Amino acid sequence: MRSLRILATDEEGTLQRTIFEFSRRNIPIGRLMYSHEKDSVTMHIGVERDEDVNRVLKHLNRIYGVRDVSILENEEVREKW
Amino acid sequence: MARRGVDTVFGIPGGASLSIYEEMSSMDLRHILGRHEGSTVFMADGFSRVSRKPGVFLGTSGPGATNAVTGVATAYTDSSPVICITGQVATQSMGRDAFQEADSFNLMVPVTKWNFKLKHGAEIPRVINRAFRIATSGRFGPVAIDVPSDVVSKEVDEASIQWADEPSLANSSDLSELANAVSMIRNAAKPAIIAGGGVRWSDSGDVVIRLAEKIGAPVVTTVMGKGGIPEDHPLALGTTGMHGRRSSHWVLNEADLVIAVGTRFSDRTTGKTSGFLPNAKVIHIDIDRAEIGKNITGVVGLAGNSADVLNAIMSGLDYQAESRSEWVKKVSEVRTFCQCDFDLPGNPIKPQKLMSSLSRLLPDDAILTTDVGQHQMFASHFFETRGRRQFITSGGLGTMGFGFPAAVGAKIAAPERKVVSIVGDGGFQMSYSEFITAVENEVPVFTVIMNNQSLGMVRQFQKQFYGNRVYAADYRRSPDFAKFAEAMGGEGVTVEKASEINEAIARGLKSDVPFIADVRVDINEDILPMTPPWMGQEGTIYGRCKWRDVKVEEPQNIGN
Ligand SMILES: Cc1ncc(C[n+]2csc(CCOP(=O)(O)OP(=O)(O)O)c2C)c(N)n1
Ligand SMILES: [Mg+2]
Repeated sequence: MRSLRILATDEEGTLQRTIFEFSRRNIPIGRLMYSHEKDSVTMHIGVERDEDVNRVLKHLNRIYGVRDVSILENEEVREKW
Repeated sequence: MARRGVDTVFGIPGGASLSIYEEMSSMDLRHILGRHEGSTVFMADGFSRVSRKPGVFLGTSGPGATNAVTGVATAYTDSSPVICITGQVATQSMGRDAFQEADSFNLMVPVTKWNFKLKHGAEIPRVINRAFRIATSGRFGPVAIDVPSDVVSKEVDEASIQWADEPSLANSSDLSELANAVSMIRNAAKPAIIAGGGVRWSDSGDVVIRLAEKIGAPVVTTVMGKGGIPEDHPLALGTTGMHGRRSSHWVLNEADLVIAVGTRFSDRTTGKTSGFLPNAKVIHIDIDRAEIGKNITGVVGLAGNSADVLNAIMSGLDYQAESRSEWVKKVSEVRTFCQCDFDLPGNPIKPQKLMSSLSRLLPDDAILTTDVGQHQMFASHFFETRGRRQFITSGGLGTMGFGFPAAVGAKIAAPERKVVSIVGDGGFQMSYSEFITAVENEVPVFTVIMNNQSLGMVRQFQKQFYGNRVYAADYRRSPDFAKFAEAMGGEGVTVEKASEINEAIARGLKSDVPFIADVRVDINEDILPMTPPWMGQEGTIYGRCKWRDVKVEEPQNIGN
C-alpha cells in the first residue's frame, strides 16, 4: 500500500474535498488517518495501486485549503500508524 | 459585497435568508427575483461569463440550496466564478432536522472550488472578500457561502469585524519547460493551436491570434473556446470535437505539433483518445496544472495564465510563418473547402438554414447563448462567431435549461449588446418560467426556439445507435410559444416557412421587450457530421457534409 500525507488548513471542507477526490475517481481508500492540531490538519491516506496515487496527487494539490501533499514510503507509514 | 462592486444580485428569498434580505433592502442593489433557483443561478452564471466578474446568487436554505446545486455544478464544470450564498437554519437548530434544513455545505463541496459555513457575523466581510478572491484567481470557479440566519441577525460589535482581505492568491506558474516548448515550435513543420475555454476566461484570444500569425499555425477551438478568437480570421478553422468542423479535424490529424491553450481535453473534444492527434507532439498550456497530463499524457506542460505564457513563448521566437507557407496555403485551401453553403432552401425549415440566417443577420458584437441538444451543436458548428461575437453554452455539464436564463444574465451584464438565446423546445421548457422574470425586469432578450417538437438529440442517438427505435423523445403536445410570450407580456412569432425567418429575426432584434421566435424545423434533420466518442474517426457519420467523399488516407486531394 502506498500512502499520501496531506497537510491542510483546518477550515471545514478539506477532509470532505480530499475524500471526494478519491471517490469521484473510483480510487478506493485503504486506510485513513485524520488529526487536527492547532490550525492545521494532517491526513494519511493509504491507496492500493501506485497509478492511483499519481492520478489523484495533482487533484489533491489544487484543493484550496491543502498546503502540501507528499507520497510516503511504506516504512514511515508503519511507524506512524 | 457592495465594496466589491457588486450592483446586481440574482435571488429568491425564503425564511432562512430573510435576515440577509432585510439588510439588503436598504442598499442600492438591483435584485433580480428569479422563479426557480436553478435558473436563477444560470442567470448569475450568464452574467459572469459576459462580465468575467462574479455573478452573485442568493437563495434560501433547504430546497433553495438543493435547487441551486445544478446551477452551481454547471458553473463549476465551465469554470465560471459564480458566488452562491444560501441561508441556513439558525446555528442552534442545526442538526435537528429543522424545517428547511439541508446540509447545503456538504452538498456544495463537490461542485464548488471552495465553500464556507459562517460562524459569526464578524467574519462576513472577510469571508465575502475571500470568496471573491478564490472565485476569480487562477482557474475561475464558483464559491458557496452558507449563512445561518442568526449569524446575520445578531448585532456585531464594530471592533470585532474582520475586514482583512486575503492577500492576492498567486498563480502558481511553472515555465520550466519554456525553452523546450520554444524549440519544439521552432522545429515543427505543421504547428496547430487548440484554443479552449481558458482563452475566453483569460481574454487572451488576441495573443493566440498573434502567435498563430507569427508561426503560421491554424487555430481550432473547442466548444467552450468558441468565440475566443474571431472565426472570420483566415487561420481560424472553427470548432472541433464530436460535432465539429472536419477542417479542424483535418488540421489536428495533419499537425506535427499542437499547442493546446486553456483546454482540458474533454472527451467531447478528443473523441477516442487513441486516435486523437495521431502525428503531433503536444504543448499543453493551462492555468490549472492538474489539467496538464490528465486526459492527454506525454505532453510538455506550461502552467500559468495563457496570455503570459504565450507572450513568453513569443519572445523566444522569430517571425516564422513564411517558412511554413506551404502548410499555411494548404490550411487555407482546407478552410475554403469547409466553408460550405448551408443556407438550405425549402420547407420544413432546416436547422442549418436557421443558423445561416442568424449568422448573417446578428450584429458583430452579439452574444449568443445556447441550451443543450441538437440546436447547440448546430450553432456551435454553423454559427460564425466573427468580430466580438460571444458564444455562451453549458459545455461541460451539458445542462438543459441553461440557455434562456443565461441570456438574461448576459443581457444584464451587457445591456448595450444584442443577446440572442438559441434554445431547443425541450430545454426551454425547463426554464421558461424565467421569461416573466425577463419581462418584469425589462431585459429584452431575443429567444429563438429551434422547435423540432422533440428532444432532438435523444431522438438522434436512438436513430443512430439504438436500433432506430425512437422512444420517449418526441412530444405529443407542445405549447404555442408565441402566445406564451404574449401572455407573459413579451412578444412572439411562429415561423413555419423559410421565407419568414429573416423578418422574424429582424423583429426579434428590434424588440424592446423579451421576444420569442418559435421556428418550426424539420424533426428529421440530424446534426451531422458526428463522430461518436467511442468509435473514433472511422465511425464518423457525415450526412450532408462533403468531407464524406474525402478519403481519410489521402487528404492531400482537398482543394487541388
Ligand atoms: C437537465 C438535463 N436533462 C437531460 C439531458 C439529456 N439531453 C441532452 S440533449 C436532450 C434533448 C434536448 O431537447 P431540446 O431542448 O428540444 O433540444 P434539441 O436537441 O431538440 O435541439 C436531452 C434530453 C440534459 N442534457 N440535461
Ligand atoms: Mg427539440
